Amino acid sequence: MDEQAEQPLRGLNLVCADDETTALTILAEILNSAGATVRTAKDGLQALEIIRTHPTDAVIADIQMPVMDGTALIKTLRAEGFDRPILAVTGASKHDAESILASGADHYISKPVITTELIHTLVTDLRGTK
Amino acid sequence: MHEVHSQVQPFNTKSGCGDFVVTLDRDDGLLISLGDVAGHGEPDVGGLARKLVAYLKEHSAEPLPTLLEGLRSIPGVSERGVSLFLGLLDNQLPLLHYYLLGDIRAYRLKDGDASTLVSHEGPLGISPPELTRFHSLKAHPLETFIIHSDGIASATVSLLPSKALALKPAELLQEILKLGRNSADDAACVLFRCSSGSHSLQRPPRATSTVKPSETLKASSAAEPVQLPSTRPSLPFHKLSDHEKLASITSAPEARLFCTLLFEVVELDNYQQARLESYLLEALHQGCRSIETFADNLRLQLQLPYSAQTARLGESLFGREAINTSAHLITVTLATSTQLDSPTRVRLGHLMSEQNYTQYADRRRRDELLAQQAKLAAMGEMIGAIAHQWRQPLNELGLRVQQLQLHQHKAGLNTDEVDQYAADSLQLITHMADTIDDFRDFFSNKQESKTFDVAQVIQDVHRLQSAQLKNNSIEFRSSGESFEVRGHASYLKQVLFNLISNSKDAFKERGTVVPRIELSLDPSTRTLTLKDNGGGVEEDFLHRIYEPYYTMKPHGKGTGLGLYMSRMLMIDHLHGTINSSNWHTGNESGLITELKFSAAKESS
Repeated sequence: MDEQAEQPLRGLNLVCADDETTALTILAEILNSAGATVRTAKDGLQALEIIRTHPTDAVIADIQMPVMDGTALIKTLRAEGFDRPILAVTGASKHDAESILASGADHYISKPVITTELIHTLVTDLRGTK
Repeated sequence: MHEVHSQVQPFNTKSGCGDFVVTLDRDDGLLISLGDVAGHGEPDVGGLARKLVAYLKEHSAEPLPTLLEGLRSIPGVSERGVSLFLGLLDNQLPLLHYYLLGDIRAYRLKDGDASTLVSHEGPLGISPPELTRFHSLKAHPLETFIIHSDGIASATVSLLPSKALALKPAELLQEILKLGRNSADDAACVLFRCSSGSHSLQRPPRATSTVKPSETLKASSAAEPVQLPSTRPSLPFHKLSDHEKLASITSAPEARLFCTLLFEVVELDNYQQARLESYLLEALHQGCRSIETFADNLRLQLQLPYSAQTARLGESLFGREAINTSAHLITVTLATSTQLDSPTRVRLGHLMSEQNYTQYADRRRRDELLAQQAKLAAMGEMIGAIAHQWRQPLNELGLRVQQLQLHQHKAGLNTDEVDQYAADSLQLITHMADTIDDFRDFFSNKQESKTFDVAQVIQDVHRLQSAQLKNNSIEFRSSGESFEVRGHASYLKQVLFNLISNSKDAFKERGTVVPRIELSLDPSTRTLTLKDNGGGVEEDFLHRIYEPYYTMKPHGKGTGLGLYMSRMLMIDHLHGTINSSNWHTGNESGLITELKFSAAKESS
């Protein structure tokens, strides 16, 4: 029980995509210390490559990214049959949420990201469905 | 004795030319008229222009107000509207009297600088007669005036001050037509230069015994050039009118109105009132065209370029002591001490009746309201931009705090880690504070008007908008060599902000796949061009986009004030122009907006 509380994401493979590398690194570190194996990508295309080649339990994707943005990434993943939870993170205002969710994301998280909430969402989604 | 050159170029022969120029020498001066009949390429335009020219020639001897009334009553004028400059370069005094209506540009070139003459309201026939104002301004020897229709890009003139003294007037005119002529429109330009000698020196000396009514005091007594007195009454006298311009009187009704207003303001007994009124009417009759008023609590002073005869009348009416010949001042004692309230002063300054003043005040209020609304709309935009601009650093700061907590839980923190954490966080906080400063500067109108670098402004605006541009994946390019502009940098920032905002909305609405905004600078023409690929504006509406409350955006999205305010800022505060047109190449299209700035002052 203790271990569960300490490392709620133990054993999970996550992919985080964001072009803001400092924020990305810190987020990865926090998720990693919660037990997850985190792979990071600087843009949507990189993320797509990683997800295609590595087992992935959930994706945390920023919407505003160069090369391939978050919305395109999510649509592509869903089109390819990726059925794991996808969390879209964005700095844009709330009224864009609808279109982001419509692209196939399961959750919509606006910046600044509160990691405890993010982890809670991941746990509920993943542990609940397992 | 005055030099005048003009040119009119029709753009096609079908409709005839809507632009016209008339210059005529008359006894009291050089009559100059330049007009532009509204309507592009329509068949009756040329005909109406010809009628106006014929009328001007036939009635050329009439006083300007009468002439203007006559033109106004020509059939077709009120249906079409005519932009008009109607002026008289005085032979007696170094003065230019004029009306300037509608979309005509008038400049004076002086000391390497171009300044704009005051224009008013809409075109002749459209704007109400009572709002048409008459102006007089001092025209110094060798000063050049340029009047042109909208067929010539107004910014062209700003390029010319440096050449004005070097080139002959005819060459200057050619230069203007070469540089600024818009090939898709009629164009008319007239250029005139006051004679180099003084006015009176070039007149044959007159025998002192035959004093002519129009002769001026000084001209009859000495061979010195007549100038409007530049000395002002010293304190405790203060100027009665709030307005800097001369209260110009051109007709008997105007003189009576002036007296009525004056008597409302300053208390004179009935005798003094009657004397003053008859004196002013006489002065007017003798050719005196302008008057300034000053007062302290006990006395009223009038300053006017009176003639010898008028001066004698003044002496007989008010006593010899009342006349100060060298300063052209007449002092009248007041019945009781007087306090002046501000609206009356404004009315006096503008020579307005109560009713006209109410209209004027209403319009002022409306303009202020408009400016207020525009500012609120811009604030809304700005708050959106701040939200975007802060989201990223806030996110990073938030994560850092959570990281700090994590490190503390895991292994405890050492001093180095805490220092590093503090340094990183402070950097982010400083960045956010800078953003706030940028935005605050943006709205501050308190900064002095000074020379600023246009590229720097572009950089600042880009920084303010960077988050929004990035979030919408808009590519932003800027190129070209910078140049300097005099004015408030914050105004140009507001203009650019509005333009970028509009492009952004166009991209969204049209679903532009690879949205792009390109800014380019051209120091040779002092032009800043903003080009987007957002599809442009329907050709039919293009000419309306700078009107207030006009918006192409969906209901509730646009206020219709952004471009209107941008235009105001460009013209009033940045001494430039703003114009938009569409562009198409291949499968791309968009809007090009050109900001042109007048030449920078060489001094300072």
